Amino acid sequence: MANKSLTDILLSERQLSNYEVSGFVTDQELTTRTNEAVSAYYDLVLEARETYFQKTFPFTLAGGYAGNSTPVPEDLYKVQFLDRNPGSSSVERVPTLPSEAERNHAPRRVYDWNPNGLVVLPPESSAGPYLLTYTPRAPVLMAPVVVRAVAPTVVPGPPIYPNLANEWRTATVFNALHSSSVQDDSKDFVFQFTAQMIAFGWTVKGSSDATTAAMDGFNRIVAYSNWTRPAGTSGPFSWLCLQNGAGAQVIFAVNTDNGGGVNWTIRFAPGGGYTGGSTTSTPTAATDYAPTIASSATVSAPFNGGSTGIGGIHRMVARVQVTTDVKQTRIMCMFNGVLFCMMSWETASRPVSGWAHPSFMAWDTGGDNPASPSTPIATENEWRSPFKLFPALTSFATTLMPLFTQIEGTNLAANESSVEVFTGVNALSGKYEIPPAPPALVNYDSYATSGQTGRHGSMSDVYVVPYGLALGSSWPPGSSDNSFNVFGNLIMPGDGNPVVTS
Amino acid sequence: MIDGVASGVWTLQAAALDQSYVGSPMTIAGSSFNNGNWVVASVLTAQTFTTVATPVNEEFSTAVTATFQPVGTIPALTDTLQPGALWIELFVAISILDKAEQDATSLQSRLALQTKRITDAMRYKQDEPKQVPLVGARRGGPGWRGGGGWV
Repeated sequence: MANKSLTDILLSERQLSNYEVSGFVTDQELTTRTNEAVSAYYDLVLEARETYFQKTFPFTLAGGYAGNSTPVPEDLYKVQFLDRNPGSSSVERVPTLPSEAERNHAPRRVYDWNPNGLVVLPPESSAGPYLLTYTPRAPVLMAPVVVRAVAPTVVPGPPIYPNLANEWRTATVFNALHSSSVQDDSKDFVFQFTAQMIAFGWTVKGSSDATTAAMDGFNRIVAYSNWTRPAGTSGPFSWLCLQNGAGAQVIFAVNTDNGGGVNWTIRFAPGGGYTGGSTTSTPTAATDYAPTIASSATVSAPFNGGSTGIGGIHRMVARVQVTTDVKQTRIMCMFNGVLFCMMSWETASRPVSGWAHPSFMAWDTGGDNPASPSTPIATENEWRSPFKLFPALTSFATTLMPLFTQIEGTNLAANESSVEVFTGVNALSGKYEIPPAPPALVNYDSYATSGQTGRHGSMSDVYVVPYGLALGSSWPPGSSDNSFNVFGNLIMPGDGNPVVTS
Repeated sequence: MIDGVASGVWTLQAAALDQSYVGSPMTIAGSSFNNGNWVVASVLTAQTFTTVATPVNEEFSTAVTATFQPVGTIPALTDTLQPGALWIELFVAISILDKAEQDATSLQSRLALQTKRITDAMRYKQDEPKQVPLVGARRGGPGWRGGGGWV
């Protein structure tokens, strides 16, 4: 039977005194009385047997006037005795200082103590190992303090403005195009951006290198060549499961690996929970989704290069991913001045009511071949201007966000499909507070740099406003207190707050 | 504000921490990644703190509980105190009745019995009164096979 807790003791005390349901005495008062009783019981036992609660404290003195004392244990109540050379054949019981008058003239080795320390006299013969046997203080019973986590505090209001604390971290990865084969190109592509995801805060939950697989937090994909499916679609294959700061998990897995390139399986669990998995199967979760751009849960090689040149993977993630409520990871892949592939995993800060795990993913390849994408997402010039980001909002809405976007739950009105919720048009209409982050960042001056270069220099934290809004328009429009404007490196909140200048 | 762990900093909106919590043991339950025992290293605000060991970033659901034990205290009787549980309870029950100016004779009797039980159990057997030597017994007497005896 477990030892009695303070709660159980208080209940017994109330029962014994017939004050079980009375407010005559409070638990706080009873706790004080109980600790008094513990002390009294403690002394009662010590009186009968002094050694019952005894503890030991080993220490060594260097000797001399500067080395003949030691601090005593914090819980010391009373010293019982002191042994010198404990555990040896020459163990010696050291007597206490007989009187204060002998302190400076101790005829033999003695000790004295108080709560601040223990001293052995005379100093010149104090060196050696010691073992202090003592009685500790009576313990104090106290009920533990239990704090339960509460739901996030969601306060509708201005969005999080970019500032030095809530900035967007970016990284540009070069040479993602391996150019030795279409398989290697595609494997290196996925290897590069999953490595960047990990570098920016995603954690590895498990992996398979087609030889060993486990959800053990170990990353077996340490080189692009670890992405493989050597025996065809029925054999073992590589997969990698990552998790972001919001608990959402994504799985990348090789579906086919042949001369035509690599096809990938991508699965997404907004609430996480992937378990199991083997070299021949990916982990499963109670609620997960697969991109639906194709009839199957696979997508074409996102980067079947095959041509020479340099491809760029641009990673950006909100630094606030690990501090507050916006969580976003976007990967943009650029080649020859064209944005041909964009992936996004985002968590809404103010999601639709009833959405249990407000995360979603989006993926648009724009065509397999970056040198000649069948449907470019955007051209370089379209990305350059903060006021002319997309040719039209509908381009963003119809080509990017609806693809592979999955929403968990169906707590939406009949005319509010998941696609509609996440179209750029609706997001910008102010109807919903999602996506939480701006539609995009201006960060395509070159493969090598990110951010927007303006009159005051370059900055990477520029929110963009959609094409079609006039100078001075706010985002989102039609709202009284949650808008802001961006002009160069000035961010002007629409609610009267001070202008953000850095 | 979100309850959870971010960059080594714990946040619990319902907490009311102060510097006395530094060094406190803390037990986390219901978490996805941080269940187990921790020790508070520093208290940053009433709702934020760090631990000696580094936690994993996580947003807590409302199922997560953090249990703090104040420094230098225990939540239950130790093994060495457990035998005195009834004595402690009787001691306090009597003080309650005294406060209410009610008769505590019955409980006082039980406390006296418990006191004797405890002190008897704790006392060394050799501390007990010895058998008084039999004076005048002789070897070879009744019950003795040999000669001699005490004189």
